[in-house]
Amino acid sequence: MENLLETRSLFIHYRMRQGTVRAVENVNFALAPGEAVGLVGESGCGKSTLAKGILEVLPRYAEVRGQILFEGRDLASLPRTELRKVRGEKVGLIFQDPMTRLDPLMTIEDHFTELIRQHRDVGKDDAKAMALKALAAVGIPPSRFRNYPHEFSGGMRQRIMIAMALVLEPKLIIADEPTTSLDVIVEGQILQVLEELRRRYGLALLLVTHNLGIVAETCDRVAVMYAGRIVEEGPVREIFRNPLHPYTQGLLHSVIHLETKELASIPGYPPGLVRPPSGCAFHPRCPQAFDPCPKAVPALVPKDGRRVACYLHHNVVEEGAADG
Amino acid sequence: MAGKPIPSDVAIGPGPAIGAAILPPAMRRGILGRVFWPLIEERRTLTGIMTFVGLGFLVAFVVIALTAPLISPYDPLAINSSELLSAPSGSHLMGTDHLGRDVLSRVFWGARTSLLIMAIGVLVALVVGVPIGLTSGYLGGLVDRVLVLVMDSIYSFPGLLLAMALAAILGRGVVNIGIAITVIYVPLYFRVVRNHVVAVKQELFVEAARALGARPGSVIVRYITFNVISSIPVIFSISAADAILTAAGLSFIGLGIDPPIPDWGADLATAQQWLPNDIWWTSFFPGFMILLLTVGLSMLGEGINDIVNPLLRRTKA
Repeated sequence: MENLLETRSLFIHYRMRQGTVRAVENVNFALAPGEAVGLVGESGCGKSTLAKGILEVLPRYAEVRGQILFEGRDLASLPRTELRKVRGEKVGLIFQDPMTRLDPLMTIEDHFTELIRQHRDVGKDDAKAMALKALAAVGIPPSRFRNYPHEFSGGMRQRIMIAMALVLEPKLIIADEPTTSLDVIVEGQILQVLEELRRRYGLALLLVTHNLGIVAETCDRVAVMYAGRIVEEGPVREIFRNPLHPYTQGLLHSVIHLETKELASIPGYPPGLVRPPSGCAFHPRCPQAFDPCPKAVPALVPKDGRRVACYLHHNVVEEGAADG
Repeated sequence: MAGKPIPSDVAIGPGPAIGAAILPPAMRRGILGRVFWPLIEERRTLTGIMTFVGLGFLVAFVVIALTAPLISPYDPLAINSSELLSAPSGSHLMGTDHLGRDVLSRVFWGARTSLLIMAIGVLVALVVGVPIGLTSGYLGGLVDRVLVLVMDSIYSFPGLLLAMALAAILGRGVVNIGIAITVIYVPLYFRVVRNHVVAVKQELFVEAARALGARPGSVIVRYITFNVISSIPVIFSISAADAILTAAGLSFIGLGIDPPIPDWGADLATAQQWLPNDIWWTSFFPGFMILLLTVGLSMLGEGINDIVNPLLRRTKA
């Protein structure tokens, strides 16, 4: 099947005073139409950068190299004006913090009219009809159409953001930790809304999160990121049942055990991305690290129905990634 | 309050507002609608009352200024040597000054001078300062650095001193004083707008708008300018109040308006020498007018600030 989205040797670096932050390093991954993929990892591992990098919603000092193929077109080399047509129209982006993502001076109606008329040459009435339809799909009644953002709760605002991301009927929704700032019940509602919409419209979903439970619930595949790289990627079922990479194993074990009331976690901290550890970036924290680990970066290689980057499972070294 | 059940869905939003019947929905839209519709909606709250009182003061002074020739009982320049420094009475409600001129008439005519200076000074500052501030804040970089440096050096000068220097160079007269005052306030508008733009530019909703395909033009106009513009009525009315004081100050020290022309500041300056002789009316009335207009403008500014910003607006539950 033709991939909807595919990144090829994608690097995203932030040039900063302290040095170059290697937020995304040589990422190759693909997403089929209608597929839901979870992108998981600790904070600061580059997952949000990757998600935003797809639409190049990045600060000026970010540098993108490699290809981002969306429906066969390379977004990384598209001119700004063309890229703007993809944003919102083909790919919807939902953010982490719904409280601050809506303009406090614009009503919900303003937000929708502005967004729709940016992309489509439609009259105000048509725009309104589209907006109300999208809002109805996320359960916001038309009576709230003229309200300002501060008159909504966090969960409602996130649903409004989802409706905005959906209103132009994109093919892909990228959700960057959409439920992180919400409580568990609202989180459930939001995920349910996303799931329903995904099924109804056949949307593909790239869900960035650090919550493995959400991934297990909503996604078909999962990609685990560590220090800017994907270290393991494959069907959710396989990976959750039998994680191969020691980091994935650690991540899956990082839960509170009710009997002992202890929090199992991975010792140490995620590495800084200015000077990541040599070789496999996880080796300083890895309980099973051995000789080859610090020497060269392991490649992401197919193994047992998934791809994994670990010398415990193969001895393939990543090509040409040594310099940046 | 208590005991009255509130329907849950209505309680959250403002619901149908008090003024809903007055204005058709179409008039609630657009930039003007955005300012005036909430004004009507808020008319029963403290903020609303304050705004309307302030607005009332301003309107009253504008009316007085416009109709001065009609409502003045005497010619403000007419010297009457038989009635020098007479106390307020039936024929001269505010008394007469040392040349026997009617103080009431001079106060009415003085409103013209004050409002004109204020209008020139503040409007020009607004028209010049705001666009420069928007551009500077949005572009950033070297342009911004240079502009901030220039504006800050102007701003660091004591306002009255700067106006005095300019007034001395430009000469007397209403227009010249207006220009001298403009120069004081351009950096104020520039600074407020520019800093606000820099802050708003970083807001996550701006990023969100970009992520959904907003063009740079619409980002500047719709998201940034609208958020910044809410701070302008406030500095507008406060700087207008300040401009009147500065103009009065300039006239007071003799750099402002040529003596025979009625002007509150100049009249106040001349009148003060008679104060030790218990002649209070010649200085009280012009001074009181300055006070009223300044307070009115400040109230208007403060009220508009609360109203334009929907976050500060208190919703009736």
